[in-house]
Amino acid sequence: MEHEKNISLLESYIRNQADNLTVKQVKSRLENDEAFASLYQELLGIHQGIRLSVLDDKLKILKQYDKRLPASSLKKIESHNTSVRSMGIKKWIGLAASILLLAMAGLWFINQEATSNGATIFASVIEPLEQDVVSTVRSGNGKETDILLTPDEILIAEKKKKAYRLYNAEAFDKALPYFEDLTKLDSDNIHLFYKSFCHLMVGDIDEARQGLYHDYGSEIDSNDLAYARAMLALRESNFDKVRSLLEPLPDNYKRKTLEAIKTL
Amino acid sequence: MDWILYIKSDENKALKEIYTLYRDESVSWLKKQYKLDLEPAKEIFQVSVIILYDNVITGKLIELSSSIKSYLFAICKNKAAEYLRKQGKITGLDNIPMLIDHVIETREHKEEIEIKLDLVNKGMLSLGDPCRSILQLFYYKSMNMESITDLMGYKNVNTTKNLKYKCFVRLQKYINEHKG
Repeated sequence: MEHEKNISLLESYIRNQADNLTVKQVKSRLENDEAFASLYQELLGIHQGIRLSVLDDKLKILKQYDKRLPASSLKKIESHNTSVRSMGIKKWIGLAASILLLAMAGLWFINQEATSNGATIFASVIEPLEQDVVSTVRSGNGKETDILLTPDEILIAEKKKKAYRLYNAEAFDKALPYFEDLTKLDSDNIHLFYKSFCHLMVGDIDEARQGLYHDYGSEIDSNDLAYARAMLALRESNFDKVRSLLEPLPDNYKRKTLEAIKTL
Repeated sequence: MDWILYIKSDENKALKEIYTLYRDESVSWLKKQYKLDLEPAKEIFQVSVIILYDNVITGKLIELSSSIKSYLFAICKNKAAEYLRKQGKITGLDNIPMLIDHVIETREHKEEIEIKLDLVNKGMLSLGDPCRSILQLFYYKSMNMESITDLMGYKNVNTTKNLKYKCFVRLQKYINEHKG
């Protein structure tokens, strides 16, 4: 009880909400009461730490949002400085990658029974989304405030957590029902994209095709989408399409593809 | 456009809009001006947007005397200079040392404070909701108990007060149990 009272007293002091008499009392106790002074220091630290936690949450939101923005312009910025010196190498890597890819693709189809290994292609190349740490809620007056979660949002957050955890663990069949629910509950098309991946991994090619050829606009990174479609084409033995989809992609996609196929 | 009002009234939307508007230009400028790689340039820009937000919410920025872009670029500039000064120094505090630097106002016992702040941040993560939300609303947004009660849909102010105290004690317990 005393502890609660002291906290309440110090909080009103820190927030400049205490009257003159209370301020006087607090100041006097801070000078003479060691435990009280120590609690005050602790509270100040917690104040700052909570501020940091809010800012950290916001940073995570921005990082997640960044993933949804078209990456093409940033990639142009990145390649601007290195394009001149790496042009020759890039050309050779691209050519070598294309040839190797087709050879590896053939090998992959010979070993089609190794479906569990196939899962690593997706898990290792397309980064899964981090689940939302903070959400946005609309209060009674229509004003949006972050941090809080409504019951619906809690449900969505729970499903997201499970879906992406299972996806990360490559348990695509188990992740699927959660992604199914998420596509119904949440308007974010990113779930449809991951659901389609899962379909592809469990062999529902038609479902996967339908989802991967959805018009995502700028919601999904165009390279990720092209890569996923290339993997679908690989499953469909459409090698020309695999090559045409992978060719314009940055080298890291090609390299990762080759690394993944090599493990099969 | 009154960006300050926009951030205060619809913070997530405003931040995303600022982010979309200035990301490419800022990152490109940071890369060119400070010869940074893409990732640190992007990181600096992201932290700068967050600092802009913090300055609005904590009342440090009440009115813009220049454009929002100039203000944001000024933060980017400071953060880039700070980053270059510290390049190579391992802080060991995940990916938020720049935010910690922003939050700590004093230069005394800085490392000790850094560790404490990181601990509170981790404690907040471990609390989960509704504790986390209540404490953030009370301590960061400076909302009073009535507004929090309203927003969270609790029965009355006493329920919120009790809950807030319990959450605080949980956080305090986490900090005490995890400090070295």
